[in-house]
This record gives sequence, C-alpha cells and structure tokens, in this order.
Amino acid sequence: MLFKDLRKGLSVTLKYLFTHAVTCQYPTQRLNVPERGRWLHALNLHEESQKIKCIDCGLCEEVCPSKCIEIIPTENEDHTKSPAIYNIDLGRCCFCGLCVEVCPELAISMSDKYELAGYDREKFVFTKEDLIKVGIEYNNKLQKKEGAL
Amino acid sequence: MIEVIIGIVKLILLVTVLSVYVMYATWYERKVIGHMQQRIGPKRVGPYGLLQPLADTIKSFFKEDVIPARADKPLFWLAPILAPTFPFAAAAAIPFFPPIELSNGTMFYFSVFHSNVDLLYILAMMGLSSFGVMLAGIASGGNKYSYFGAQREIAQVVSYEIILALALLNPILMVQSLNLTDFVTFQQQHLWLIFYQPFAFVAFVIAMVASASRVPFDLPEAENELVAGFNTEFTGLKMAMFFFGQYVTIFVVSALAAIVFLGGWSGPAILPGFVWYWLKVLLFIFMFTWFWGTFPRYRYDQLMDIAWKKLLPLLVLNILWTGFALIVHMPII
Repeated sequence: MLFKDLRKGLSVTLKYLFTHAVTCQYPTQRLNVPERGRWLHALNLHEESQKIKCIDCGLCEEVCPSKCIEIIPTENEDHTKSPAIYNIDLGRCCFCGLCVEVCPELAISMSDKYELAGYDREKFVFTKEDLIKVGIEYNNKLQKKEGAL
Repeated sequence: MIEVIIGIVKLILLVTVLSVYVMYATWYERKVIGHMQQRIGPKRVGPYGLLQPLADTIKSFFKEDVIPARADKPLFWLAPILAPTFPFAAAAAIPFFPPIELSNGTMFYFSVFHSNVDLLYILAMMGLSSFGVMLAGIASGGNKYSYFGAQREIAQVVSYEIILALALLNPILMVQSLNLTDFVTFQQQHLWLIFYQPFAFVAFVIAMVASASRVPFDLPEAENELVAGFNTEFTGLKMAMFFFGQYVTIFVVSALAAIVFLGGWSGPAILPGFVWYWLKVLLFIFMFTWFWGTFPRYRYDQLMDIAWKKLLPLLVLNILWTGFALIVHMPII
C-alpha cells in the first residue's frame, strides 16, 4: 500500500486523540509524593510528654553544608538541654537531608510539604514553632495512613 | 441598487464569520493538538477554555507594537495588511451554502461574488496571497530569519502553485466549466470526482497543504529553525494578521477541495445539502490539524523535488490520459 509510514504516523496520533491525557492538572489535582522524598523539615515531639525531642547536641548545625540551621540552647529545670530557638533558613537550605541523617534522637525529619515558594525572604526562615506544627500535621497524617492499612 | 446592498451585507457577514472562525480555529487546533499529544489544551478561560480566543484577541490588541529601527516602514505596514487581504478576497468566491432558486426564477448564491470563473479567480487570489509573506521578509530590515522565511516562501510558491492549478485542471477538463456550482451539479449527476481523479486529489491535497504553509510544508515559519521565519519581527496585531491570512487560506482550500473533489453539497439524502458540505469542509480543516500533530517538516529542496520532479510529470500524464479518455468517450466517464 502507498504511504505506509505516513499512515502509520497518522493512525498513532488519531489513537492518542481519543485516549485520556496524562497531564496532572496541578493546582486542582496533585500527585502523591514519594514517602522518602526530601521536602520541608519537621521537628518531632515525644508522644507521651509532648516535649520536643531535640536535645540541642548541635550535630545538625555542624553537618549542614549550607549552614542554614541556627540553634540557641536553653537549660531546663531537670538540667537537660533543649533549643530556645531553632531556625532553618529555607532560602539557603539545599534539602540534602544530612541533618535528618545525623540526628541521634530522631528529632528532625522531613515532611511531605513541597510548596515552599514565597514573595518574602523573611518568610523562608522557619522557626521552631513552625517546624513543630509541620511535624504534628505530618505525624497525624502518617498515623492515619497506618490506621487505614 | 438592491444588489449592491445585498453584496455589502454579504461582505460584512463574510468578514464577521471568518473572523470568528479564525478565532475559534486557534482554540480548536490547540485543543486537538493537545489531545493528540496526551495533553488537555486550553481549559482555564471559560468552560473548556472557550473564551481563550477572546482573551488572546484582547491581548494582541494591547501588545506593544515594535517596529525595528532598520525596518522598511511602509512595507512593514503593508505586509500585514496584504497577508489576510488576498485570502479574504479568495474566500469571497467560496459559497457558504448551496444556491437556492428564488420565486422569480433567478438563483441566489451564498457567496459574496459569483461568476463563471470562480475557480480562476480563487487561484489568482491564492497566488497573490504569498506577497504578504514575501514583503514581510523584505520589510524586516535584514533580519536573517525573516529573510530566509521569505526566500523559502518564494521557493514554495513556485513549486506548489503549478501543482495546485494542474491538479484542478483534471476536474475542469471533465466538468468543462470554471463555475463552482457546475462542479457540484456534475457530481450530483455522476460520481464524486475523487473516484475519477484519485491521483489529482492526492496532488491537490499536497499542494493545498503547501499553499496554506502548514506542516509538513510550513517552511516560511519554521519555528524551530527560523525562530518564526517571516513574522519574527512582527508583534501584536500585526502578527495576528498573518495568522488571519493563514487560517482563511486553510478555509478556502478546504472548501475548494470539498467542492471540486468531494461533491460539495451533494450526498445521500439523509442529511440536508449544506450539512454535507460543512462536514466535508470541517473534515479537511481537521486534516490540517491532524497533519500538524503527526508529520515532521520537509526541507524546501525536498518540497521542490516532490513538486517539480514527481508530481508535475505525473500530473501532465494524468491530464493527457483524461483528455484521451474524454475524446474517445470512455464508458467510465
């Protein structure tokens, strides 16, 4: 038959005309993110006492290649240490995940929040309270997921 | 007097209908191409993106009108005016509905301008329509992309114009008329001309894609090698004018192919005539989009090779054969 290659191409495009689009319509529709993805950090709390897990060892501050973590410690009544200020400057963070890797207390982990764009440089500095809130949300989500399983 | 008024009303209707058609052709084309590439196409502005062409039109009105310092200013204004003018002039001879017989025995034609040399007039206007693109290349003040675009357009025009005319010569020989209405009456009495002249039909389809400068023959504006070819330097409404010209050309050649080869408004009586006619026209307009979604671009020496070395000799042979068959009254005709 004539024009075999041309007809082949035409049939392919005609077939795709009647199949569904593969695009994700982003703001209204979101893809599931991978479980081990590296996105916004979260600070975790002890489940019983609801106190922050961080003991202010300073390892994350030390290991951070872009030096975006800032910790100012405080001493508790029972002579343990915990951070008074724990800031992560996401404008500098390269999301390498080394802080999570190095943490001996599993106090810092990474959540599934990836929409981090903003209009203001100051908004990129996430404080301890912000990160704890992220941690609570993310852990609740994980528990719900496990409960469903 | 009444004829002049009717003519003016027809002209206004033609320009309005074709303008709306051009706007929605862009929407339709983006939608179909999107789905062919497994995307969705415009969908944000209005339901199914139906207001997208309106938004685009408003946007092109408010774009800054940049004229390059080295541009030839009169030609730079003239080129976008000429580009849609000649396709519109050609569309004036295209009937939009089958003609109806009035009570006093005269025929009322739904084309702005009806004559016995419709086909010749359309071919002449289509031939002139390349001047807009040529002038655009010259007027852009030595921009190499525009210049190459115009050069390719000229190479393309000398290739496809002769094929377009020769491919139409076969049906003209059989019908022995240049009047578009006569073509349809002939095909109502006989079979559609595509069955008598399949080769001429294929040649005409190739030439009509080239005449509308669409993929695979979109050589003058090869967006990935010549930036945008001849309309690199044009902005806003001026660039929109070239698109107008191109989409109206697509409509004109589609209607021509539907009338000359597919029998226009003739068809089985289950549907009224004008439905058949518009179905055929839309089929050809879809064909353009389909080709666009499928084929890569030919080089312009390949186009000239196809036109001059392959189609031209074969079409001459076809014409000789048609003439011979007509002289000896072959039973198939």
